[in-house]
Amino acid sequence: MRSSLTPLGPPVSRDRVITSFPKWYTPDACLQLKERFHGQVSTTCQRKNTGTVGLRHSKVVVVGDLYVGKTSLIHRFCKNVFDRDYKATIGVDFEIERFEIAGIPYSLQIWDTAGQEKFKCIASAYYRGAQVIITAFDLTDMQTLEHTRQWLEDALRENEPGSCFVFLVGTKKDLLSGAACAQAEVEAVRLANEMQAEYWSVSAKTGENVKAFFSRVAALAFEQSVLQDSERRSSARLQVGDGDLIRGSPPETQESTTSSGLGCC
Amino acid sequence: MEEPPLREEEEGEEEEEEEEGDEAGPEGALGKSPFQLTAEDVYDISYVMGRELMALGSDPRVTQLQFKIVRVLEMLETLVNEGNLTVEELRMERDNLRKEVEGLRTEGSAAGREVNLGPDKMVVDLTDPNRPRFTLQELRDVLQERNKLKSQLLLVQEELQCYKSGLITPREGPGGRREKDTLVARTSKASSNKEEKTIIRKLMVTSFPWYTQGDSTAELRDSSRPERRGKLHNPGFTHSASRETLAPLMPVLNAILAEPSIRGS
Ligand SMILES: Nc1nc2c(ncn2[C@@H]2O[C@H](COP(=O)(O)OP(=O)(O)OP(=O)(O)O)[C@@H](O)[C@H]2O)c(=O)[nH]1
Ligand SMILES: [Mg+2]
Repeated sequence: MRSSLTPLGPPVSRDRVITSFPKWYTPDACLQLKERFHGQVSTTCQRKNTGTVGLRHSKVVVVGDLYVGKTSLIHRFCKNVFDRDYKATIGVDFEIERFEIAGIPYSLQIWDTAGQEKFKCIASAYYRGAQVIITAFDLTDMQTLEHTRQWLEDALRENEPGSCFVFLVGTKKDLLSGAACAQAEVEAVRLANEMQAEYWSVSAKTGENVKAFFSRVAALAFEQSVLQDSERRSSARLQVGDGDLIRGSPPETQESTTSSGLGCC
Repeated sequence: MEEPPLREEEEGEEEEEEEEGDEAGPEGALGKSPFQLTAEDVYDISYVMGRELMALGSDPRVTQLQFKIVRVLEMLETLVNEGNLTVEELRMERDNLRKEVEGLRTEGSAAGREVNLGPDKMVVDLTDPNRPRFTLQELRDVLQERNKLKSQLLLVQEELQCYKSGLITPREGPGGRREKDTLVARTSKASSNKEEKTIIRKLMVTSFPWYTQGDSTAELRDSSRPERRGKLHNPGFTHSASRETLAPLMPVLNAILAEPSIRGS
């Protein structure tokens, strides 16, 4: 049931509807362990107090060495395809994926950057304003894991400290035996903790964990957006004439003052 | 080998001396520089000495001396032959080196400019169809243009989906749109690129006949200017049905159009 104030949009496909909070991949390297949306978020969403929330999106930037499978991962998720042939990304590309999270429309703007050194100066212009940074490496090539440090550093440099969720993703899981994968994951989890990142192993080829991963990304980003918005709105309440973003939403809610952004993690 | 073969490129000096030697007859060999003696000269010398010994008569002391002289001449012959072999080897080595230098010189002159360019320069083969032709800035512009077109395409697809799912009906379209859209088109005319507008309009007209009245992308483009970010959906789609239906996507697309962030250098 939607209120008339909620923008409708064309229907979101079934598997983009997130009702319960998606789980982590491994508790050894995850951004948060809770299995439900933050209380504040549930309240806000139930009340359909989403004059702005409904219009929100997050910017996701995917970085990592060439050939690790960034484009493949994104294409598997957004288009459900896999191409065995390598076609290097020129500079940068993007996809938009729409979700419905806790009843609220939400979009991910996913930026696929080129791993090739020669495009770095172009791609890095797109790092700014990322809410999520995904650093990808190839599980079969541990050197690419080592390089994720540098990729992350470069991406973080363009953003406010502490403003980004970081994910570390090992790709091409299908190419490894269970044992070999577990071995690679030990290293990766260690690095993920160092980077304060959440770790995931995925396969674009088989699709394993791809949807679960992006759902997790979307949910975490969404939740943070809602919380930050409540905070912003409560602090902006006194400022008159901040007419933007308000589309017939009711006046600010009382509880938003109490949020103060705690308890996210 | 009685005499080392004379090389054609032998310096004239040497040849002259040999000719002199020939003209001087067997006696001439004795006047030669020891470094230019050949086995032939040694035979000449032994001939001269043998003749003189014979003239001394059959004194047994002469016969004894004769044995010693023959022995010394044999030793000389060996030394001369060996010396000449060494000289020949050295000559061959010299010639090889000469050829090598020659080769390097021709190569060097072909690539001469390249060599002189310095470590960070390169030479482009103008006949190579795959040679680099575009500047980084041009690539940046192309990418931005591509992003723009892609986001507009997404918008059209989204609208098509709305249309298909009955969220917008063609009848509903023009009535609500007409006056306001023409207004928007007029105000944005100054800032918009004419050529691009035509393409987009064509695209729109093919998909949605009611677009002839206005240019919905004008707002999109117009509002991508950074100073208007954050207010986009407000002056955005003016027709109530499409404003409601497309609202979720609008800010995402507008954000795409504003990438990469202008503040970035
Ligand atoms: N077996 C297997 N191969 C994969 C997987 N993901 C990607 N590949 C292959 O790895 C190669 C590189 O994949 P891309 O997605 O183009 O790599 P990229 O990271 O986008 O590369 P750049 O755009 O140059 O930075 C391609 O040949 C893919 O088919 C996977 O999960 N399993
Ligand atoms: Mg790629």
